[in-house]
Amino acid sequence: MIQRFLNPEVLASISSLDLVAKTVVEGFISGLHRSPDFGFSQEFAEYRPYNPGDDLRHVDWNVYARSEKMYLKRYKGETNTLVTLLLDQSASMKYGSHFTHKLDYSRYLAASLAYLASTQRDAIGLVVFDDDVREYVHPSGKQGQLHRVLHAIGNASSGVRTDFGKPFVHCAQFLSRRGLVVVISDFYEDPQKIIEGLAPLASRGNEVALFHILDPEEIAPKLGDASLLIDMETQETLEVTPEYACEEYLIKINSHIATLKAKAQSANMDYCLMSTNKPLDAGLREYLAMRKGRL
Amino acid sequence: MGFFAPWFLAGLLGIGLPIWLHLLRRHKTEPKPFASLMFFEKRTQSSVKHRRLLYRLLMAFRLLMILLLALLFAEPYFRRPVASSGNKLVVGVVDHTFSMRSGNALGRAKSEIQSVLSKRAAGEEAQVLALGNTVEIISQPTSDPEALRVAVEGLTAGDGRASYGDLARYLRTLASSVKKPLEVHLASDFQKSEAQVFADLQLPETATLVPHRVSSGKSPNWAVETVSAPGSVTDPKRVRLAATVRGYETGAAKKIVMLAVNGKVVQTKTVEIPPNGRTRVEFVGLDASFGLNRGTVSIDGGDALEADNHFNFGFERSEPRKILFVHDPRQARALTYYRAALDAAGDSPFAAEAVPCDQAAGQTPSKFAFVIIADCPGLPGPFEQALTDYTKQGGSVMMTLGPSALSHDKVPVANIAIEASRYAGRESERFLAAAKVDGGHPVTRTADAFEGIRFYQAVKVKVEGASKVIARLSDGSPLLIETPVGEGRVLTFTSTLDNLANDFPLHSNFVPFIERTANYLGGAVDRPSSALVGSVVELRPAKSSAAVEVYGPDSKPVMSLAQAAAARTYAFPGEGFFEIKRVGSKPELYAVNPDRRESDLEALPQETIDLWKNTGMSAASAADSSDQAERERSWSPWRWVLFVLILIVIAERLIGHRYLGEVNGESENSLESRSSKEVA
Repeated sequence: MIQRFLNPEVLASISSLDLVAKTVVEGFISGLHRSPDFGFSQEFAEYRPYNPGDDLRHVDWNVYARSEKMYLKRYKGETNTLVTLLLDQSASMKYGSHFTHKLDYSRYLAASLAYLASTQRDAIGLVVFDDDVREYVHPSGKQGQLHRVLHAIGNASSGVRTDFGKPFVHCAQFLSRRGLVVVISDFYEDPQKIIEGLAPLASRGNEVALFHILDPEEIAPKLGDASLLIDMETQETLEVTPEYACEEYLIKINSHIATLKAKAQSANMDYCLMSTNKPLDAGLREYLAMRKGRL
Repeated sequence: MGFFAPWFLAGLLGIGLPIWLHLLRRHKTEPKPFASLMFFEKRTQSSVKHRRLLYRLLMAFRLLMILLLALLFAEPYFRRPVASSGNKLVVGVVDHTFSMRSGNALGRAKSEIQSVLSKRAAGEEAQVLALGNTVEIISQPTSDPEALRVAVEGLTAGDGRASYGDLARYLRTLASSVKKPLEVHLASDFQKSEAQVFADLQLPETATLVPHRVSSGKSPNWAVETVSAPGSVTDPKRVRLAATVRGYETGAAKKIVMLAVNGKVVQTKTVEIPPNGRTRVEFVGLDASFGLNRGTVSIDGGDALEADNHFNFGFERSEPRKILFVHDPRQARALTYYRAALDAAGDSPFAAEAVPCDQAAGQTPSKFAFVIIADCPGLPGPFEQALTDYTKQGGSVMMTLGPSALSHDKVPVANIAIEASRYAGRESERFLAAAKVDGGHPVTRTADAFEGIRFYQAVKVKVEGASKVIARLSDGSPLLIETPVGEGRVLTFTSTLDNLANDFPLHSNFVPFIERTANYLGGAVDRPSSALVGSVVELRPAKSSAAVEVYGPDSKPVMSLAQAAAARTYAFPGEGFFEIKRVGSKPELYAVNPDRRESDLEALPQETIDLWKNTGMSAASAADSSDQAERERSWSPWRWVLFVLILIVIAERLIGHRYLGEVNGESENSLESRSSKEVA
């Protein structure tokens, strides 16, 4: 199960993708979150050449004295941040127009994040929800926490309808410490309601990051002819014409994405749209870059 | 509606196949799953309804395909009435045969047809035909009433003899070409003799026959039925002429029979004719001048058809032609028997001139009609050479072989090898007989030409080359041989003409044999003294361009210059004397008479005419009604069924391609979904 989610290719790619993720003290590999204590890890990670603008405090002068070349000495960060993953397993997450449907993609993403958090010894927690909390792994930094979280992620199966109200209220009750709350969902809900649901978490000092997982067919449907569509959550059927899917639907979905992004940013939340046809590492790199810029 | 092969309707069970495929195993359209429809709105166009329409259309086309296929094999047909609507061709047929000269039959026939043509619907096409020796097209199909009226008015009485079978045959051809119903109006006296074979009267299915009887058919009529007269006369006083006078529907009567030559009555006889019987009249002697003579045998009038009260005949009076008879004077019997046979033949155009064998040197063969060498022991050399030259230039020679012939090794002129003399022994076979006789040869026209004749002696010859054996003896040796020499011919008789080597001269067959050989070798044409209207005479042989002129009864040429230069035959159109003049030969006279079967005015019974009317109708409809104008015929719409079937196949392919294309497209999407599920 672990092997399934911790795809070595994905993890190797993420591990070496960016020095930011490994040099930032707080958060996992300096990008995932900001450590409130600015602590440093004593575990040596790697050297990298000095670039103008780098902090001179990190230069390994011993190496410079021997080789007259400036290298930065980098350590794996050590943090006490609490990372809580909220994974949506509603029925709509089972949709996929190609090999990987959204729930699988979300599992990979959640597992990757959990692993990255565990590498810098963050406490990891997990909430699996649809219209209610279906699985809860209390955040902890103890030995074996990663395995428990990954096991819970592996058990996540397609549920019923999405309801962001009840699960977020429960999360607010569970999370007593500040930390990073990562919400992975397709967010088929009114953006205002979503932000309102997450607002109690953000107001407690948590950083909230929204990973909006969508299938490419949801972003730009390609209907050859008029089709009968069935809602995977409500089982409601609707006959849809290609003209509508190409014009009005695109406007609506793009408006929904833009509104959700705008409202998230206005509520000091991170927002990252990830399409399931894009590589997972690319999506993470994009988010980390964005987060680095914000930090 | 019916079916020619109804058992093929069992193929309709195949309709169950598309029903099973479409209804029982039909493809269920699954909705396409989508994550959320919160951004979709319902639109009026319905893919499902569209596909359902395609699906139903596809099933309907497939059902129709099987239905039409079964119908195509079952061959349906419909009974279509052959209605007498405006879409028909009115055919007016006027009988103008010889019998229509009786009374005013032709006038009444023309009036009947005029009446029919005037009553037809406006714009309806009509055609006028005349029924004579052949079916003559007087007018093409037209709706012009004036043209039709003129066509009928222009018809004149003819001398021909019609056959209703010919008319029916023409109508069958016409019906197949005009492709529309025919309404045939036949104005005729409906002579019984003109409808001999009822099977020939079969009318086409689309023809309706409307008879117009213009004669009662019970009128008494006398006619000069036949005249037997020689075509060539050499001794007028010895000529015997026989005529037959016959009565039709008549009682006993006395008739005066007159013989006229060149318009002058030369003999008259009174005869008694029994009721509905015939009487033979014989005239002896024909007082005629040299050359061509026109003769007529006539009876006094007073009957329904006066045109058949006379009979024409023609003959030529000429001097007898000489035959050079070369013989051994010591054996004079052959000459005696030969002359006696020529005399017994009646008015023979030949006369034999005897010359001894050893005195033949001074004779010129070309001065004679032909030459007979009767068992000569030897011929003078110059004469034999002259005889050979004469034969090569087209002359004819007859050789008879007897004991004297054995002194030669070959037959003179003919060059046939003489092998031996064949004698019939008194012990085993006492005589020989003719065994194989060529009945097709002009000399032995009848197979019994040598019947009953005993041959005691015959010369055995070896026939080679172009010589042809006409008759053989019972031992297989040739009896009569024809040998072509140059343009002439030699007839070799391997026995003699006396009664020593055979008893031929004592038999009655001798005279006709002599007569036929004389006519054959002398080139005498045994031409009849009269011919029938419509009979054909050959004007010139093929590939010959010799000028020929035909003069009609009015002594005027009856053919145009182009016809005279090219025509090979001529059919006598009517009664009278026709003279044919060829370059390099004597004129020929033909006395032409109507067919005397036309003199029998007995008409067909009404029942027979009714049966004839029904020959074009099917058996069922004929039984239903004998006089209805509307008839039915079967019409098979297989061509239309096939055409519709092809259209439906094309439509089925188009609809099927579109429908199945959509289903397959949907299946691909479903497959992707299923694949992702399987991987998960």
